[in-house]
Amino acid sequence: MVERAWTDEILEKIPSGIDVSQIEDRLRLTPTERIERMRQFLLSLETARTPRGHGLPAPR
Amino acid sequence: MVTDFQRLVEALSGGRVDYVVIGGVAMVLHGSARTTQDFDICYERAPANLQALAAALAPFQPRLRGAPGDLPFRLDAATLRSGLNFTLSTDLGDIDLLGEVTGVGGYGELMHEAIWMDLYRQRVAVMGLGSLERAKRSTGRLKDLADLAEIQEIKRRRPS
Repeated sequence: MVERAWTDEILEKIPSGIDVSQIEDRLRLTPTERIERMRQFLLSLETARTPRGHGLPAPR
Repeated sequence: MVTDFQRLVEALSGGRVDYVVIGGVAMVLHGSARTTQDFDICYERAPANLQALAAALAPFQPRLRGAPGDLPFRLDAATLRSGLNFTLSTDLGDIDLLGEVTGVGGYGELMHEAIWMDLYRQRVAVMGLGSLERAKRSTGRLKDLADLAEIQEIKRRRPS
């Protein structure tokens, strides 16, 4: 008999909140496309974090 | 700085390093929608591979992440042999080198369940979903619960 881990009980009782449509979307891509999709997202975040990304003047 | 995954993969695979992609990037390669900046690998610890790994990363100035800039550090085969897990920054981004993965084992154990994937035109070994699941369970961290739930969803949806 396989012993149940405490994590199993939590996973069963609390909704995961996972957007499965995003997983399905990723599974349609190649592995390289999956990484590049993530990288483009990270690049856009980095751009948004800079003052110019927000359309604000650069700090003096 | 966003990690240049392509150049890291090209450096390692081009340098004929024996490694398995693990951690968050492995999750993404399997279909996870999470994001990560770290490139984590488990490396084989044979002497020739330690040399190949150090040589592959040398052009990108590997240094201990978070350590003072003037701290003397040289990533070579001797350094790798005397340690096990290294968290490094490089000119291409952050990379973690693990000799062992908690709950799974070393390179040999990981390769039993690894999946070969084409990544940036290189054939790369990626930690299997079963191994990822065991590693996430063994850490006991709450943040890994989200990854466990995602692994279960990926398993349900991936083509058999």
